[in-house]
Amino acid sequence: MHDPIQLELFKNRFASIAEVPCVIVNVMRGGPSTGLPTLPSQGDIMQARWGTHGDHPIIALAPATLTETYWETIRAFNLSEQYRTPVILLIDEILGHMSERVELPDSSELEIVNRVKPEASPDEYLPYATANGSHVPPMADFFTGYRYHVTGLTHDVTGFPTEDPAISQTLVERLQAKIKDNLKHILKNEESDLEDAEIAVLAYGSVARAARVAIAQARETGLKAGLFRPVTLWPFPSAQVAALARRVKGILVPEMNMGQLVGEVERVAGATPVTSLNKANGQPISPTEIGVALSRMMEDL
Amino acid sequence: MVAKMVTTSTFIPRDHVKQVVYYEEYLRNDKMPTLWCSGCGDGLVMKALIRAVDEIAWDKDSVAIVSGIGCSGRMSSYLDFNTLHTPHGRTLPYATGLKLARPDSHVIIIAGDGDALAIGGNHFLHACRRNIDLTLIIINNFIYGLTGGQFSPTTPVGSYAQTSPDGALEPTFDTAKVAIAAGATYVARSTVSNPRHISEMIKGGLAHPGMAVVEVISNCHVNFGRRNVSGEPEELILWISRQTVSQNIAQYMDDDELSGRLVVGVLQHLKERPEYVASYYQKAAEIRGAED
Repeated sequence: MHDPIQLELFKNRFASIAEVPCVIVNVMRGGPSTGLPTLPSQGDIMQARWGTHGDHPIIALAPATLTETYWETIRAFNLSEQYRTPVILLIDEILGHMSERVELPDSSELEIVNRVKPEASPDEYLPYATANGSHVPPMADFFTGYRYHVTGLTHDVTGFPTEDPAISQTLVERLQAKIKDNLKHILKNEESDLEDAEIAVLAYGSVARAARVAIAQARETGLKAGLFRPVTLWPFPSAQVAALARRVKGILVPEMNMGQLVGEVERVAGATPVTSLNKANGQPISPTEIGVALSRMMEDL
Repeated sequence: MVAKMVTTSTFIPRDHVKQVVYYEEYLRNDKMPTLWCSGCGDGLVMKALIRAVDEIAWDKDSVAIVSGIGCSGRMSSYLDFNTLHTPHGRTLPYATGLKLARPDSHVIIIAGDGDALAIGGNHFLHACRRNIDLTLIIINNFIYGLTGGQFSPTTPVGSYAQTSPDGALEPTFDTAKVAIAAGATYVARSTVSNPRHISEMIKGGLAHPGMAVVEVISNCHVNFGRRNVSGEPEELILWISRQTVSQNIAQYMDDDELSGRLVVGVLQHLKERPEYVASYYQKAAEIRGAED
């Protein structure tokens, strides 16, 4: 979707508060504005998280291959249904224009998750009430006898607007909790060559592919590097990255932007030095550039 | 002579014989009273809508009301149907989604002039163009009422608003002409000076299997009337009545006589053009058939 106004209106204002399961695909291109329309970037990492009104969590997934894009698309729909939240597929334009071999499974092998439907009768149904320790209210379909109200306004469990301070606070906290309390299920990271690594490269999307090549080349020269690749960008895997920072001497964060996710890494890295490698000119980051950055980091350590 | 006729005779349909409507059956009575100002036309439109739905005898479970932002946006929360209160200007995309997902449903949209014609103007054009089986009721009170009286696309040129203290400069949209030009197949206009007529126009829209646009000229005496005509609802409603002319009379008037007047009645009623949702499902079936 290349209409930031619509994206902002639906994703952030309406779907989050009305708890509408939906998947939004953002194939990131160079910006600001119309910028570099057919050239790659990872410039919308923070827009995905914070380009919004008010406080609500978001799930954003960043696949690195076309096969993974297929599987993450399914996972995006499953997560959006399970948690009744918008999920953003945050793909960079390199993947958007790429052709590569993809093996598709038989559709019977796919795990499909659907929203929980109410067991209560229409007379007893409270559209935004939760039960049994879940933070996700069961969702009735329109035209099935549940004549309820859906609004973008802050609402109580009946779905009707309210400005009651306690109810407003409870709603916002529940929206947070349904993601925060399920991090284990939502987060997904790939770790490779990290067992003996001295330097970790934290990369996502297509940049992780360049990082993988750079790490293999560095290891040939004796430089022990490894890859930490978050597939779920939001919520950010803070605990996992903090643990990673305790294991390595430095973290390199290459991004096709001027430094966005690196801020999250710095926030949890403690005393471990974090180095940013940034490029926002519409060109991909090459393995060589990552390799050079790794060598320089090694010299400084 | 003609002008005198206009002020006194708005068309009242003679075949209107429905007796008793139990409004409470269609309202969420625990949500009363409404948030609207005393004398607001929104209540008249809501009542007219209920009458129209009652006469067409649709099951409440099969009806969805989609509203936007503004005073009229609150109407969805008062009506006991499947109700969807959407972001500003976005009623038609949401309604289109509902109708496409559930072609057997009846989707009615309530929007104000600012909502439908300014921020939602593009959606308006394309919903009309597609000829989707929706009924869009545009409550045109010439102003952004809820937000304090900013001028809207239908504010008459020269009128005073919070944002046009020296008179509105921008030319005025003719909602019905825009709808007809864009392709809506049922276009009607009514005013709060004749609530029974509103019901008839809405009922015609509900019965029409295509994009129906019903513009209802309404009174915002608080934010429009107070600055321009009168802060009293009845004064403003009389003024609205004087701005309009029934189509039955308008057909005998020339352009000069019609200048500045809004013609009320059914202004477009085409039955031949294909309806979008039906075409969509027909095409889908054809493609599936070809695959088998």
